[in-house]
Amino acid sequence: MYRFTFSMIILLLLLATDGYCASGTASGVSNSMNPALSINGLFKSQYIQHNNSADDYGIELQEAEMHFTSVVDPFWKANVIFAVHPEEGQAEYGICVEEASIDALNVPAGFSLKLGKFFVPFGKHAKLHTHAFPFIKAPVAVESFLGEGLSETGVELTASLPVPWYSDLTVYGINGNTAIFDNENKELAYGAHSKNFFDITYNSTIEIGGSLLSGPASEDYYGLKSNMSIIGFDMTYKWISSKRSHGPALTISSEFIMPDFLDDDRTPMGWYAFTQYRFHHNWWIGYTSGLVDCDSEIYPNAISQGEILENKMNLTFAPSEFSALRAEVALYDNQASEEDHLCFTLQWNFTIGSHPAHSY
Amino acid sequence: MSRNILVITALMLLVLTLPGISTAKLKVVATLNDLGWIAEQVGGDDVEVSVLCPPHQDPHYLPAKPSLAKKLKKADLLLYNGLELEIGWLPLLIETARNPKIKPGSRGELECADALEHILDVPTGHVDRSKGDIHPLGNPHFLLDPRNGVKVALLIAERMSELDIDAAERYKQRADMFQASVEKRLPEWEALLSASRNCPVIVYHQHWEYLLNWLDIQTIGSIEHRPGISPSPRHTKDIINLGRSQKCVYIIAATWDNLKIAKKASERMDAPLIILPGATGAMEGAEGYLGLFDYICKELSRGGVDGVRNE
Ligand SMILES: [Zn+2]
Repeated sequence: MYRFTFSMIILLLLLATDGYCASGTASGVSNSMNPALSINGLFKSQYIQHNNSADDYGIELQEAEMHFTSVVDPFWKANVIFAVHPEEGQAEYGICVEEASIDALNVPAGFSLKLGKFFVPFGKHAKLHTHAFPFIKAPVAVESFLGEGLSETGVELTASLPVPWYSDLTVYGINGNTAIFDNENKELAYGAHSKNFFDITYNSTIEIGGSLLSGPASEDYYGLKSNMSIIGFDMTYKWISSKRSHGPALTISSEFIMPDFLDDDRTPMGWYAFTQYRFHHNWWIGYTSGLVDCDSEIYPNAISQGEILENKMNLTFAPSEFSALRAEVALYDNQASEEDHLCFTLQWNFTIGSHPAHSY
Repeated sequence: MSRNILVITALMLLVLTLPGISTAKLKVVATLNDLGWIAEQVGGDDVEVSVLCPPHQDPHYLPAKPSLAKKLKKADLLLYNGLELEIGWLPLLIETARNPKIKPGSRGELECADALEHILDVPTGHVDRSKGDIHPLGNPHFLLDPRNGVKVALLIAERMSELDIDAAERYKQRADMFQASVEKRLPEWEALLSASRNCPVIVYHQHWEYLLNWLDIQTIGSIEHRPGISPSPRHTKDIINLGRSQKCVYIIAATWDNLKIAKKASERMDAPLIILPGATGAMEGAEGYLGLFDYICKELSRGGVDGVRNE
């Protein structure tokens, strides 16, 4: 009896110490399950010259992004991104949830499933984080038709297609009350994206994508059609020298975006094309040209009525993967209002913590 | 009607099991050519090996091309170096591949650094990125010590045996054979470099620490003093002065390093620059893991003794 009690005490003690070990500290507070965290700060200093109004200048925080990622349990992995932006025309900052989604861990080979709020896979540019943009602002075509960062709540299913090249097909359903659709409507918007990669040589690839997004049309648009669809095509050529680390690299990319064809007078469409070249270890040079032609009464995000042409050129110095400095000249030319402006911008950004690699 | 359903179900089952029947071989994908070569020695006819990073490319910066993810889609076993060498591209490729067999933590993925007993250059004290943005867990280039190659081969054999029990005996045998062939050559390589023992040398990137540690050659500094960050002109000047004062015997660089800076340092220091293959097959004549050390030891012995420049 005495021995039994003794061994029970020993056993209890062992269990108790084991419990303490598992929780990491005596207080039961542990860091071991914290998500991987990264923060990116993006700043810009700008001088804008208008042809028919006073010049503007300023320095501001363009965006601060906080990224958390971790495995939730044996079934899900989570990704959360908060972004802080200055509010348009105000001295205050607004915070938005750019992403809060979970990916299923136990799906059959070749599939992936995402639930929550995420960047909608439309074309190439809409999915980029602001600090990964090739130019300081998104192309006018992307901004007019897809808004500033198309992040919505819904479900996304991707399948790898059994073809000789790399091909993914993504289908998704998202809430329809987004900025680009009817924000009163409760109906769903849905879409699909096909992404295809071909290796041309060992060092160069071509990506060809097609996107479709359809949802309840906004009120102004409603008189014409109850549903609005947007289609897009994108093509990207990449070449990276494999012989030298940080050797020369070239990207040429273009995207074409076209909402529903309405009638002869109103043929909304937009495109951009850019090229970026790494000419020296940490130095990149870039040039882009783009156009949007649309009606701001119908497209709530449209930058202005009529046709806008943009031309931008920049020089980027990225001393490491975690910081970059960029100087850019951008010329926006509004054909309808004969208003144009020239922007000189300096942008700098840093990333701390563990930021997941951006897609190829 | 029900017969049709039965026939269709049977056909579908057949189609589903076909890949299982036709591919009896274990599909192995290795991140590095060295690992791929070792896996072929250990796996022999029981495996089918493909490699993600070609030998002439710096493994720190492989572009994560989707065609590489496609190689991973059908893999039964992924072999990677580890110690965050592949951190910039492998997680993305694994995610893009959507292959549950090789997802982190599964039996189908093997971090080969697990075979090591001793990791070099493990940062001590406070660690942050002011010291560079790669090598935070210590120096990952351990495959440049052939004795580590043997340890990795034995570990690979163990894992292959777990995944393919029927061939377990053969994996073990082949790994033992590999061990014997490396151990037979070790004295030969060491003898070739015996004259260079304790000689001071400078490296471009800290890629050669395990190699030089094995051969008892002393590294006095690196031109790229913070891993992954281009050397500043000031540091280059300092390292040249250091090389001169310590009578640096030669400078070692990999084919993918910034050879312009390395050549400049070599001229100013009046020490020959030896360009070496950073991986199996990275240069002509360095084919195979054993061939890699044949090449490296021969070049080092020439460079060290008669000061031949290899450009
Ligand atoms: Zn390294």
